Amino acid sequence: MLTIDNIYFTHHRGSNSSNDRGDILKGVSFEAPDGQMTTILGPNGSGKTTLFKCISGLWRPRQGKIRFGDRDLAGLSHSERAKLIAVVPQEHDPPFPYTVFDIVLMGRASHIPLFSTPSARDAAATEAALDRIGVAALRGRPYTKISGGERQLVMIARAIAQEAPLLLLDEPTSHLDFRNQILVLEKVRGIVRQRGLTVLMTLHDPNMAMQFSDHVVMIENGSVLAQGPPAEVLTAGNLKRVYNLDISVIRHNGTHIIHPEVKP
Amino acid sequence: MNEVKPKRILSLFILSAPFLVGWAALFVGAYGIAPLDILRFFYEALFDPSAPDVPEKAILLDIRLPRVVLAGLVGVALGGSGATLQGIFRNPLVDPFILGVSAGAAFGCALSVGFVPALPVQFPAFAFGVLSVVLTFTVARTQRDISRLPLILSGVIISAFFTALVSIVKFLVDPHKLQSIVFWLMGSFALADWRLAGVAVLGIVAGLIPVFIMRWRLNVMSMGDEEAKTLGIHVKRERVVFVAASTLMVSVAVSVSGIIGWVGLMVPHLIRMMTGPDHRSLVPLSMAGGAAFMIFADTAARSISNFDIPVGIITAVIGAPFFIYLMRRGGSESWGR
Repeated sequence: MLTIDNIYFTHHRGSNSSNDRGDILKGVSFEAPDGQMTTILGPNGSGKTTLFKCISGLWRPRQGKIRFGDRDLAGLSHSERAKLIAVVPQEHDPPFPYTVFDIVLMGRASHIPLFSTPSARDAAATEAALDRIGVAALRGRPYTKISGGERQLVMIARAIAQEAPLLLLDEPTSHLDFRNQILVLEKVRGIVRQRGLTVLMTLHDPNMAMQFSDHVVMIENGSVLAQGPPAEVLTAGNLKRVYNLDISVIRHNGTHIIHPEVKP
Repeated sequence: MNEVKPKRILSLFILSAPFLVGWAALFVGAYGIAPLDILRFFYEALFDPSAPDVPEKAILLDIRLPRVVLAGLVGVALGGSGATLQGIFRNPLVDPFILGVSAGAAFGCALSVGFVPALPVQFPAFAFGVLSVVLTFTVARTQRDISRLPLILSGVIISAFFTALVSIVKFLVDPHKLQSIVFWLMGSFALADWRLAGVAVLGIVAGLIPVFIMRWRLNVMSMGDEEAKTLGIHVKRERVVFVAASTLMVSVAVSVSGIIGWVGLMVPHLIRMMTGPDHRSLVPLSMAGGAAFMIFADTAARSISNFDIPVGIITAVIGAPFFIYLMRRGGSESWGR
């Protein structure tokens, strides 16, 4: 279980004055249960990215605790943290045309000693991850020459090769077409169910969040507005408040469809 | 998997290239030495010290061989540090020359030759090499990231600054020393002997070892600071190791041969085109390729005309058009964001 306990975050340079003492996160608390998919939903600028950077250890919160199981993540080195948390980054532009295999192999960095190169075990873990995500056929292709959907899958394979129990996905669908969005999220869900991993991801589309999460945390302006099962959090009232849109929620075959009322 | 085999053959060829080129370079010169004689002289030097001394033997063992060895070592330093710095700064258009390391190290050397002759030149060379790369990095760094074009521009600025300081030294130093500083600055192996080769072995191998054993981590670090951190790399600490080791190799190379530009840029590019960007192969092959190229360029430098042309001129004549080619061809691939 990932526990976020009353996190505050402020950028050091407070010169460019923003509202409320410049706090970007204002007492965020929530839990991401083990073996489940937790989605953070919120409009642009609500603090999702900041929250992600804090959890992945890149930025340090001003106050509050982040725990995974009973371990406090604050004092960990990058290599210790990488054994617990695998981050799937959003956008990707490597300067050199590494092969897909070499990219996924990088997921093994925290398992490889400082004065060493990847072993046969690391290569085997990489192959297994490529197989598991179904991108083994891309093994020898340059990462710079594959499609956006394939890249996202390769990044997920890298996170799998990292063998960390917690997966952070930062808008895994943002650069993908409709089909690939579904494909990627189905893949993630399949692995989570199979391996009992814990997933925390951000999404933009409330319908995707409705379909693919077990737990939704809704963030507005640096604070948690609501959290719980998707059907309870993604209500017309909450969505209306956060996105300032007229929204109706339609029940269909046991699921809920979120429908924005757009004036013709 | 069908791509593996040609790559392995190509790699073996590149690794053996410095020895092949070096062997060929031993024949070349005003004084013709037959290939078989070279073998005989080597044998005598190693196992039969009582054998008669002939002029050819002295030319081979005391003039040509140390020169080839020194050129090879400097090529190892330039090629290896070029590949390393390109990976660290995730920028395919940098090398020690462009980042100002060479100019900084040259200033350290000139300072020591001109005013503190008692001090081995390698120490001030390394100190000012480190200073220049730190300055280039600091000037280019904005907020959290270091982008490609500002890094090159700040390298140009720092290079110009240290080149100006070298000019001040040249202006102040006595004319007798001036001549040797000027000649040495142009980049040349004309002064090669076994003592210089010994200095180069010590310094360059000391820098080469950490780079070689940690080279896979360059793959991860080239993905950017934040990503490397989430993958478990202590970016700050490891960057210091890589930059210090590269700077050591380059400073020692500059101290024995002056400023030789462009090799560190060209060689890793060519190797990347041939055998791919994985630093596990890129770093050692860039070292081997750098050595082969350097020996070749130096042999050309001493045999194109009756004079010993400074080899730095040869590498610049080849390197500048190569840089332009990369710029025009590369577009987004070279410059990126």
